[in-house]
Amino acid sequence: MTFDQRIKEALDKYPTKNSALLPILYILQEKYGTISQIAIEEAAKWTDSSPAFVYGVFSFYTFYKREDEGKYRIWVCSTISCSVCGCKSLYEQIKNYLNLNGVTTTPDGLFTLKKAECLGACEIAPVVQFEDEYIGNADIETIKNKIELIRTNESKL
Amino acid sequence: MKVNYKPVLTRFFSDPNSHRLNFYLQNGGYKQAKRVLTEMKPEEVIDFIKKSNLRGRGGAGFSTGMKWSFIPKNLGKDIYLVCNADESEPGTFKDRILIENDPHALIEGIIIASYAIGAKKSFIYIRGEFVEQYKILNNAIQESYVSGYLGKNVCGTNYSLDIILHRGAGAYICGEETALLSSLEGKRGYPRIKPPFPAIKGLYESPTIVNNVETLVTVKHIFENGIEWFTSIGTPKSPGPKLYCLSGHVKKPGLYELPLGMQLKDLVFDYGGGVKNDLRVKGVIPGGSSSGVLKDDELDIIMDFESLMAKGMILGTASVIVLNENVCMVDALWNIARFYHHESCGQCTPCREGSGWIEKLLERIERGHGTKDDLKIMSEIAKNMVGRTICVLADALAIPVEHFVKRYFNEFEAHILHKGCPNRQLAASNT
Ligand SMILES: Cc1cc2nc3c(=O)[nH]c(=O)nc-3n(C[C@H](O)[C@H](O)[C@H](O)COP(=O)(O)O)c2cc1C
Ligand code: SF4
Ligand code: FES
Repeated sequence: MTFDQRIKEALDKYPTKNSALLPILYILQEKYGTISQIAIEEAAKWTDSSPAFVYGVFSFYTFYKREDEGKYRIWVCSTISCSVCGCKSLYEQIKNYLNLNGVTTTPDGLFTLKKAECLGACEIAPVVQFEDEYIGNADIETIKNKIELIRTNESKL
Repeated sequence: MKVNYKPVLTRFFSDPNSHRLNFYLQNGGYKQAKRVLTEMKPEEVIDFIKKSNLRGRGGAGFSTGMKWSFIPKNLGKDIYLVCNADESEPGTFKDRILIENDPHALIEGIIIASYAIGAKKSFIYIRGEFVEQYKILNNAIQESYVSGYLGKNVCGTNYSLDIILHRGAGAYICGEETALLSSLEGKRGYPRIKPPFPAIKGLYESPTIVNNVETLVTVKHIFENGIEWFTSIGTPKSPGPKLYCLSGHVKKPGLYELPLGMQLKDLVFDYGGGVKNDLRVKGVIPGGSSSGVLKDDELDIIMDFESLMAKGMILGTASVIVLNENVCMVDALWNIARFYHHESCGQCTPCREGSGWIEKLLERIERGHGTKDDLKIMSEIAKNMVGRTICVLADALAIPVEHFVKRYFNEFEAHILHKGCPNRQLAASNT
């Protein structure tokens, strides 16, 4: 299915157009990589609303990709169960490994490191959400391997 | 002491196929939906759940049958059932595991509940981060459509039902039921003033019931095993099995299906195996980060809605977080405050500002710049957050503030007197 077809399908599912806004933003994120100004304007058109309204909704939610985000996200859960299981030092180790000094995204635009709030997987703390995948009982070695794998694959592109 | 209890909700979870339709059907799946739809009137379904005394598993513990009965009759408007799968209360992961292992039990629970309240469309609002679980649930829903358990003529009856699986996008507040409805309407996830309650004016201003994942799964099992089975488990006012989440410094973290009304210390020691590295317990958070905290000599408490309420705390999601003797309680509370401040939607001044000030005060105390008045000020702010806001997120921070400060007052005071954390290298989280 094309992106447009998927958006139409989403619109058909809901009793109001506006209800399809969150799903439409997900589809446009796939299309454009991030929620860019173009994506916002397109979402507004599909839902018969204004870009300002769509922006207001989009900016409320943390899970959409911002334009300044890298291609892959590394979210380290920093809430209480992960915090007492050592997420802080893990976060610092990843930060050092990626050489992030005062920024959250690597200069090559590949990785964005962020603290996340409870990811709902506290039994496997500390938890890292690496792009869409949950990594439980996470340690720096596992994360390093993932990072290197992506670096290798990306350099071949 | 371990109790004599045979798991029901989670009994097939060790089977790698437990999420598949075939497996589900082989084990009696969809029989209850079919029976209910062919043999019972909607009112009878509501009465049945009322009699079981099932209380919502989403945190507040409200009677499920009672809630269903609030739907006005013959209003001529569409009625909606919304399943709350936004699971984000820190310490909680039961709904995620239920969806991964038994999505069809949730769908069957939704069919029964939707039929009872007269809904022809229902929604599952799943948190955005649960990408894998979204796929599992989406597959299960497709399977059910293809096999005639959803869509037109559910189970061959003349009842029709659609389920729309809707992804959230990262906002804890959307777990609050009215915020969830705002979000489902494609708006910012702002809670709404109650009344009107969703049962009267909910999604698209229509009568709407919001129920938690575990609640709806439990509904299915009550029909399968009977009211007697259900009420023979747990306590008279808090009957039934419960999914307890154990995390933090416990040897065996994980999900435990046990009766409501367990002793907290049995959960921590006999099931959880006690504290990792054989350290001592300093405190246990009984029901998710908003529930309060108990000291090591208070763990004989009964885990039901009433016993925790009597202590000024809540059972919440029964998510037990164990903190060992090395945890700095100022740091732990700071972490909790940071969470609620981050997640405040900002509509109400006491919540938006109060949570921010509490976070700042705790940071200052932890970093050694606290003053003698800080604890008093913090408690004042917390008191002023309660009962003055649109939703209870404000209370969700006020409760832990009160109980952490009350129970570990000396530790908070020591930080102020000694200008810093006596345990700095052990403090885990924020700085
Ligand atoms: C701030 C806040 C967050 C909440 N988060 C959730 C949640 O993630 N999942 C949930 O089921 N209920 C959550 N609730 C409770 C819901 O508002 C609602 O009571 C519940 O979904 C009703 O379902 P039940 O009656 O089956 O328990 C939250 C409440 C508040 C105030
Ligand atoms: S109490 Fe907090 S989270 Fe709830 S509506 Fe008010 S500002 Fe928003
Ligand atoms: S606290 Fe990290 S997953 Fe819950």
